Amino acid sequence: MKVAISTSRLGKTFYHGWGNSASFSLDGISLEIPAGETTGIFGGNGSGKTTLVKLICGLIRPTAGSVLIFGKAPAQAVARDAIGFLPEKPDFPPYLTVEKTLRFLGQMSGLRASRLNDRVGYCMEAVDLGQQSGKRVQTLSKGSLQRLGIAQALVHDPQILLLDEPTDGLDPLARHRVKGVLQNLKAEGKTLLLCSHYLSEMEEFCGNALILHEGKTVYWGKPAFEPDLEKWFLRNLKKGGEVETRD
Amino acid sequence: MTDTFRRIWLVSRDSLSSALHNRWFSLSLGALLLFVLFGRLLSGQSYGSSGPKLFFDLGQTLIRVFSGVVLILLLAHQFHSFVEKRISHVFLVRRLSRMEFILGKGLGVWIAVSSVVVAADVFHWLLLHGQIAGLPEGFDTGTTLPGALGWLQLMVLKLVVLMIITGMGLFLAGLSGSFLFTALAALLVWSGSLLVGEAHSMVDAAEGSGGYVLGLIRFLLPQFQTWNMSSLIWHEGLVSAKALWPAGIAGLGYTALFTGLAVFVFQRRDL
Repeated sequence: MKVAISTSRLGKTFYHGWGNSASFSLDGISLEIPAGETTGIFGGNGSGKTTLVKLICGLIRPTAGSVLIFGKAPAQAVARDAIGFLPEKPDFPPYLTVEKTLRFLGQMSGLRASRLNDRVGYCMEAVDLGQQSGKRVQTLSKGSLQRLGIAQALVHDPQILLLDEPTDGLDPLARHRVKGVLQNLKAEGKTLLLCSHYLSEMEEFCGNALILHEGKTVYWGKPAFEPDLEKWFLRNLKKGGEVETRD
Repeated sequence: MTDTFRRIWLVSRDSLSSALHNRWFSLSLGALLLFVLFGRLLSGQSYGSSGPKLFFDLGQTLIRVFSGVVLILLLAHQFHSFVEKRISHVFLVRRLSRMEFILGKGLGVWIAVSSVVVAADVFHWLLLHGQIAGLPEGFDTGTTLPGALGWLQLMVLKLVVLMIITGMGLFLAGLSGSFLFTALAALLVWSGSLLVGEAHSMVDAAEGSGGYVLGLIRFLLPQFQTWNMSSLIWHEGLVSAKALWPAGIAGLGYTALFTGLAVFVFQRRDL
C-alpha cells in the first residue's frame, strides 16, 4: 500500500497578539492516508479541520510532529507538485478571467506552453466552466467560483487533492455539480482529502473518516454506515479520544 | 534560479495588473498630473524669473510626496486583500515561496508607482521648459537648468526612495494584515524620518534622554533627505557620480534590510 499522506503526532499551537497567549488547534494527530483513497475529515466548527489541511499543504508550519507527502516534507517542490488545494472560501484576483486565472496559476506551478494549454482546457471542461472561460472572476456565482477553485487545484495534475468544504454554502444544483466533479476525480484514482460538515457526503464518497474534536482525533477508520449518520457522529464524539483503527 | 526569477516576475506582473485595475490608482495618476499643472498655474507670470524655480520645487515636492503616499496605500491595500481574503494561499500552495511572493508583490507595486513618477516627471519637464520659453527676453533665471541627464538623475533618486518605502511597507504589512495599520504606520515612519532629517540641528542640540531617543530614531530610520538632491541638480545641472553612487547603494541597502525583515516576519507568522 502506497502512503500518500502521513502525519506523526502532528500539533499546532497558535499564539495571539503581542502578549503571546496560546491556543491549541491540533494535538497529536497521527494518520496514514493511502494513495488513491478518499478520506473525509469531519468535526464541528473550530475542531481543527482547516488547520490540519493547511499543515498538510505546508501553508503553516507545525509546532509539533511532522507531515510527509509521499515521503517528502511539504515544503519540497516534489511534494508541492503532488498537492492541489481548494481553500475554504476560494477567492482569486477579481480582474482575471476564468481562463487567465487558471493559466496564471498553472504557470505558477511550473507548467509551460502546450502542456499549460492542455491542462487549462481540460480543467475548464472537467468542472464545466468552458462556457464561462472569458468571464471575470468578480462576475462569477458562488457555485462557479467553487468550481474554479477545484479547477485551479487540478491544473497542475496533482495526485492528491485537499478540498476544504467544497460544497459549503452552495445551492442544491451547484452542490450536485460539484459532487459530480468529485465523483469523476475519485474515478480517476486521485487521493482525495475532503473536509466537510455534511455527513451524507462522507457516506457518498469516503472510504476513511477522521473525526476531530477540539483538535484531537476521536475517530479514524472506515466509516460505520448506520442509518442515522448524525447519531453515529455524535456517538464517536462522545467517545472522546478513543481512536478506532482501520480494518 | 531562473524559475525563481520567473515566479517573482509572474507575481509582480499580477500585482501590476491589480494596480492598473484599481480605479483609485488610475484616479491618483490623473490627480498627480493635475497637481503638477496647478503648480504651473501658481507659479505664473507674476513671479517673473523666480517662477520657474518655484514651479520646479513645487512640482518635484508634489511628485515626491504624492507618489510615496500612493505607493503606501497601494501596497497596504494589496497585502490586506491578499492576506485577509487568503488569496495568497492559492499562490503559496504551489512552488512559490513566501520570499518570492513578497518580492514579486513589492516589485509590481513599485513598477506601477514608478511609471506614474516617470509620467509626472516628463509632464513637469515639458511644462517647466514651456514656462521658461514663455518668459520675456532679458529674464535671467540665474540657474543651470537641468538637462536630460539631470532629469534622469532626479527620477532615479525618486525611484530609489520609492524602493525604500516599498521595503518598509512590506515589513509593516507583515506585522499586521490590516490596511489601516500598514498605511498609517508606513506614513508615520516616512514622515517621521523626513521630520527628524529636517530638524537635524534640533536633534544635535537635544540633551538627556530626549536627545538619545532622537539620535536613535535618526540612526534607525532612513534619512530620506539624503536622496533629495533636486536643489543641487537645479543649481548645477547634474549630481556627480561620487555623490550619486553612495546614495544609490544606501538605498539598496535599506531596501534589502526592510525586505529581508518582511520575509522573516511573513515566514514567522505563517501569513
